[in-house]
Amino acid sequence: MQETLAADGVKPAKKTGPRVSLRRTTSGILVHLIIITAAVLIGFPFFYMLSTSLKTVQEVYTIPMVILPAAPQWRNFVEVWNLLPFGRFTFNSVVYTVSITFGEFMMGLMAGYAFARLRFPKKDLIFFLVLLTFLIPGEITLIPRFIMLKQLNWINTYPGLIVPELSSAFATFLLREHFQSLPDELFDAAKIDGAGYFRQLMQIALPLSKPIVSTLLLLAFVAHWNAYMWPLVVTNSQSMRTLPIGVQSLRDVFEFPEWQYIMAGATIVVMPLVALFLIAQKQFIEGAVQGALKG
Amino acid sequence: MTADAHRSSATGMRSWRLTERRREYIAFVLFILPNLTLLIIWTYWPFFHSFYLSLTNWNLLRPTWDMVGVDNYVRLLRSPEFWQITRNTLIFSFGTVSIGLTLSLALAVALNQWLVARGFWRLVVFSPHITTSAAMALVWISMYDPKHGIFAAAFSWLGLRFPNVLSSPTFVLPAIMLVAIWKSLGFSTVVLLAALQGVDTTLKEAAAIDGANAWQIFRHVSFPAITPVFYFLTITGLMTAIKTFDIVSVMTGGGPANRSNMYVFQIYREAFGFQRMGVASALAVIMFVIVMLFTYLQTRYKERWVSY
Repeated sequence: MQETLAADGVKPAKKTGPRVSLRRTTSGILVHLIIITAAVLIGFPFFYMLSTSLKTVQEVYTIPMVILPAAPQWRNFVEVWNLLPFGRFTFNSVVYTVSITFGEFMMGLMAGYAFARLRFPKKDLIFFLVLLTFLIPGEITLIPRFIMLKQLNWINTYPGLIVPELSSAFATFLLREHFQSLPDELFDAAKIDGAGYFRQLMQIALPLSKPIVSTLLLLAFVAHWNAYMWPLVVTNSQSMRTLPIGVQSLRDVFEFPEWQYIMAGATIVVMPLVALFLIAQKQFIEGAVQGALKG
Repeated sequence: MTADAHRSSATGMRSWRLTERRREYIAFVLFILPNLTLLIIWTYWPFFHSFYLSLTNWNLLRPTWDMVGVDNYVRLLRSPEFWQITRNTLIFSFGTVSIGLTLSLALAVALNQWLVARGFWRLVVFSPHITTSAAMALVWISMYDPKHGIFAAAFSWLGLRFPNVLSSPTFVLPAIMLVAIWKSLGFSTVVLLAALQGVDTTLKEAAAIDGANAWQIFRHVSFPAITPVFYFLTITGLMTAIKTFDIVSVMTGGGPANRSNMYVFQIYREAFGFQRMGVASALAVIMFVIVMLFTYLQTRYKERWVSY
């Protein structure tokens, strides 16, 4: 994609005469300067996080500031990992994120398929009911949900963290649209072969949906990995905290903030996402664009 | 083929289709039931329940509660604290969205020019969008550190003193707005870039032949073509900004003196700090109404804004 775009941009320059191309060169340099400045500013917090996480305490508290540590202190990561139960936080984050991402996806997959390809009286009305939940922000359901969890004795438990978050209107909506676009003939052939609806879904519809499925899974994974308010409200003991919440306790551990440890903690939280983003940047960016341009 | 045979095959066909249809209905119900049940229990029911709660004086610490009608709303609307929080939320939301979208548009236009390694720049610009707000908020606290942060270092290099922005009534809101802008910039830039790339090049070329300069082409060809996307980003940006919680909770806790407090953090504090579920629910309902207003604007004025 990148090459074709760059080639596209080059084309007009070729058509124009030498005088204009000089002007184009200066404006081209200007554009590059703007972009490089913006990228440096936007990327700076990441650099700052990493470089601080590798400093010694002395380097953190030196004035004037030390930009890069003299020798990277990798053991900050080991120390911070043992300072708080980071293994437990990570385990909780993985359980929370993976089960919601997968559960939400299965719900959306089945419901999306049913709404797209199965007949049922008034099914558009039912779909509308599902769609309406888009309009209900999590902030307004928070308190009643908390009261329900309290009555169920589900506060500070995995079911309490996970079950209320499992349903998804978004996945249902996107997958329904996608399944509607698949040609009928594919399914007719399978019906004649006697395939049940679930098998039609898993063996015909799903393999034809890889791009949208990977986008959905990635977006859901990031959203739940980053979730803060919900796990904060539902959990109350350190052993049940997820990473984004657990890492906050690093601020209470020291008398003065030892930024090298706090930044190492922040790096631990963010790193899996950065890795995922570098591997699947195309899906992330296209997912964002699709979601916005469709709306 | 005789008429008789024809009829019998038709009835055979019909009974087959009936059972087939019944099977389809059963499959439909089984397929949507898990999702629908969870949505009803964990979204619809709590949604309506919070309207009810907003009319009570439910306090988690007390076993009983009474209906108090609209008392919670009246108390909220009469308290200066509520108006302070409303003001903060509105300044924060309109400020971050207007500044953020202006910067995004400029960046998107720049990224749409001929560029070396465009994919890389787009990647960097987008990256804050996928990171954990609660973790990056810690990084920003560290950068804002009045003695050892990068801002303090830069200011002292210029011979200036950097204030403790996170405990300053004047600077705390701008300080968290900058974090929100940093976080949201990449998403809108990438979306606007895609929209700009979708603009018909023949239109731009035609305008160029007619003697339009780069600014005129942007103003009269490109921008009108992307207004629907721009409008969409404005509304969804406002809706997201109004619901900001993570950075307030981590960076300021609403302080100092409520100067950075916003709706969602106040809902959280009323409910889980002071256990006042009734007041918190009333505030949640008010916020919901405001968010609905934006949703309405999004659908209602969409057509009017689009100018091709």
